[in-house]
Amino acid sequence: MRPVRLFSARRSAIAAIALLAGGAGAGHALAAGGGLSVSPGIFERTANPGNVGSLKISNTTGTSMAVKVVLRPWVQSPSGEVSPNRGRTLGEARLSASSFTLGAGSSQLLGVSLARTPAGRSLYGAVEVTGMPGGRATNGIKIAYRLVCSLRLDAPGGAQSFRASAGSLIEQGGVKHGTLLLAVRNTGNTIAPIGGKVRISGSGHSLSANATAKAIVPGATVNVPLVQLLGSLPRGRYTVTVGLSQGGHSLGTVTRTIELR
Amino acid sequence: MSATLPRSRVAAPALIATLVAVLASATAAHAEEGTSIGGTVESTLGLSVGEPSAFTRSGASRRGRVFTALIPIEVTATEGPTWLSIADGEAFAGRRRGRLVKGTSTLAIPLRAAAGNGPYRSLDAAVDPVLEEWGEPVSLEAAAIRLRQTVRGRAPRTLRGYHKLLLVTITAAGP
Repeated sequence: MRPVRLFSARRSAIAAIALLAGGAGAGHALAAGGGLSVSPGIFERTANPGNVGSLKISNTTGTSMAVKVVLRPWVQSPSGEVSPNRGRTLGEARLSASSFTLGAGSSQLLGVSLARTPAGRSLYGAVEVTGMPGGRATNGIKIAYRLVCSLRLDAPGGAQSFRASAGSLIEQGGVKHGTLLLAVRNTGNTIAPIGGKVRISGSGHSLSANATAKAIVPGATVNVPLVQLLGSLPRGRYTVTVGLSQGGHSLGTVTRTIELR
Repeated sequence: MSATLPRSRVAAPALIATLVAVLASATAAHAEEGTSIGGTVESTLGLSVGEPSAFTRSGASRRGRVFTALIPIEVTATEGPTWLSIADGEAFAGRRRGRLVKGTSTLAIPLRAAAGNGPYRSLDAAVDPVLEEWGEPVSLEAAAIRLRQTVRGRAPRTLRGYHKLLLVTITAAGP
């Protein structure tokens, strides 16, 4: 009986695939569905001059799209959020094409190359793909697609540098509902998240915690959350010791004092 | 206010779940025969955007008249986390950034946007505001961007004639 049961299950699977394909197809036809996609979502290679790989951009909508692809540096806020810096481009990296029309249902392969070894041996930025569908603005709002992939051209193994410098402590909120943060600047050349172990002591109390690791663009400064206070410490003067680490490498210990309010 | 996405695309995750269940059943039966089934998924970032709704007046307060609109979207991302944000597609600096425009005039208060349970965030910020974050890979994940425009004082009573190009943005895995 087993072969019969197996055949039945496989036939159901084929029916489900047909149903899925039909349903998705109908959706595309209904409202000019589909969209814009880019592969890979994260473009990570070693930063060696020459060709480093390719990107595939696909338009699965029912209309053609004017596509623009630009490699940009990141701009990072103190909270760690990043977006492409739309006022600048990455000089060292090149694309085989940056502006083209992508017909309905078509794809385009783009080559990515590195003109020279980047300063600092690594290069991090955004692949910004903007797709502008044809047609006029409706309801006052015109929509364009923007896909932002991460471009990570890492330094070769022996040239990777894990380093950071710490700034001041920041108390956000109060001792009952606040967060203690440490301003950290990534002075190395990797994007490996920076975190660490925290010990707070003083006023007869102490507290240990693991700091939330944050990916910091080389050269940028981010306020790394050390600990949620949540009333666990009374107001007073404390010594805060942070053992910073990045990608499994110890970056040393930082000691600061702070008056918690 | 209405905004539409194709029903069958929204229903696709349910169909995928059905398909996975059926395939799992078939796999279990097949495993007894000594054959394994597997596959890989190409690293992809995809976005589908529906038609935005018209701005409609949704209320008034001491702060002024409030207009709202919706943009339906679907996101596919094989790498987590993924961030949804929205940016001004016409001005990336200066007084016009994030503001609806009509000819040479610009509304005093910037457009704001929100998604999910997140707060409204102003579109005139130097870094594009993150409206929603998905920590895990997502497939045809439906979401809606809510736009809110407040006007006050001698500003126009409707938004007729005002326009803006908005970049609906999906960012893969941050830096």
